[in-house]
Amino acid sequence: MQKKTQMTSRERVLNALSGKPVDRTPVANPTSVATVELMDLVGASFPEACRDPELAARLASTGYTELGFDSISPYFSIIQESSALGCEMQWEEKDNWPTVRMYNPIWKDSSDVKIPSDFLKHREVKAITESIKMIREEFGDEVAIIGKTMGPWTLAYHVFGVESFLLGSVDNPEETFKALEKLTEISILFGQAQIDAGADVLTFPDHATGDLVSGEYYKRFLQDIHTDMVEKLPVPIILHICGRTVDRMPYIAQTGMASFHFDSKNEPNEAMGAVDGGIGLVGNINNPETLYAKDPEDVKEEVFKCLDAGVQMIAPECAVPLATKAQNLIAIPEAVKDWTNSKSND
Amino acid sequence: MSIRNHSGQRPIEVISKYGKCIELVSMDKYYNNISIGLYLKDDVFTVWSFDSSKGSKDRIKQIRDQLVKLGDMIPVGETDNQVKFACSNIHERPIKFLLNQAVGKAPDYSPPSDILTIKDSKSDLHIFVEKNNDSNINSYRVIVKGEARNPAMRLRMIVAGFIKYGEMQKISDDVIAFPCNQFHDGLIRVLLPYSRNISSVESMMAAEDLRGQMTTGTLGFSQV
Repeated sequence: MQKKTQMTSRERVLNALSGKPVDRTPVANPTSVATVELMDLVGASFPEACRDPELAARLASTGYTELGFDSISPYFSIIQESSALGCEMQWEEKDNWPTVRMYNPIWKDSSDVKIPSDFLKHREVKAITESIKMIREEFGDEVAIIGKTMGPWTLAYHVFGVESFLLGSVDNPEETFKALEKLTEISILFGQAQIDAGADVLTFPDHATGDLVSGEYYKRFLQDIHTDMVEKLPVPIILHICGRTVDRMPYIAQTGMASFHFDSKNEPNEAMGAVDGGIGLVGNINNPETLYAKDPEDVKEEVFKCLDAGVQMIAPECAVPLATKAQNLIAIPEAVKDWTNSKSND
Repeated sequence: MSIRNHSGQRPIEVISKYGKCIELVSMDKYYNNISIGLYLKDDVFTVWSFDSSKGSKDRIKQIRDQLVKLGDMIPVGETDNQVKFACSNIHERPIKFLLNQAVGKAPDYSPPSDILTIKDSKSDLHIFVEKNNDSNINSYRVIVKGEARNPAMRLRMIVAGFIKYGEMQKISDDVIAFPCNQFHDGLIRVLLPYSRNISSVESMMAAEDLRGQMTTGTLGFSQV
């Protein structure tokens, strides 16, 4: 649905997420568009930019000011909550993602799940909430601010370890339900803190990924939790799950979330068919082959494919590789504008 | 200070001025871990960093000078950050290896000798590359000397390495040439270590490409 008068980036994103008309398809970054070039440009490098609110805000803002995206997302990685919960961290260097050392899990079962009383005051949590405040103060209503709060499945990988958690879901599903329920409190707490700080939208990554978890598993363990999030977190929510996910898209479409951030392992047309209008889609420009290794012309071709399929918001499929060249990211909004102009001339 | 302000040139301006970024080195260990890009417009290569700290211009000049020293490139005019090949060709694949050496080797690094030779990594052979201009083509002959179980096969593999990484043309079983039909001893020297072992170079590049990618594998979500 196209609207003629020019909108602000924020209006464009919020309208697209609520199914209202837009002047053109928005370009969003539900995960991250931080790169080493942008880090140098604003003097905000990893890992410090994941831990310091001003650096996070400066780096995130480049997505809007330099790349021309319609949103700003200051939570680049997926580890902030887990760090605050006490997980062992590997902070890495500028050119690599900080990770949780999952081989050394902090908890064994649901009875261990406890939210530290100072969770919201933890450095890695405040890095995000404070950066959102700074971005809101700087940009006002100009651009959409997308926060991010990890879903319970992702948190479970971090705190229990991947293998232990997945095996537990087979051996003792009741215990898994309990753990997920308790971990969901963390998702809500951090999500609400970001809303209070000024986030317009929340990305909700919950890594029930195609290569580890089946569609039926998603339905059994996560569909209700995700449905619940829509009531608990009063902003549009973008669910993010990596990998081949067409088998669970019909379930995701029933959650009431505003949008699903989908991976390039799913063709735009088939994804649109799978959700069948039940939820908006955002994605799915390929990272490792296209954005990282190809040229702007190739990026534009992928954007056109999404637009032709009717994908409601265009974005990289996941956090972009840190060595992605700026020219390929700039090509995304350029392609959307080219496509929109070509359609209006038809 | 406003979080949206910075003192550097905007990416869109840099692309417009210097062209397409053909190679990006994420971290320069010899200067503050800044990223170094190589941009190409027409036949001019520009070494660029978005870092605007005081010393970055000097470091970029150092890298530019290493491109000249290691790759036999020509500085452009009065610039401190631009080079081109004498033949005016692009040689896009080999110059990526050259940039990585210019950034990754110590700023005072010089090639060990004028002779284009290296020990084979898969046998006791020594590989020599000599200039050759039979049939009026400026080409290079690859020679292997020493003991090996099948020297002819090793020679074929080494020639294949030059063709792959140097975008060179095969003139005969042991003779190769750049598409511009000009000599580029500097590029041959840079390519020598890579040409002798394609499989390990491919593995190294794949590992390098994976760094900084957020995937279920790198996040540890596909280990079961």
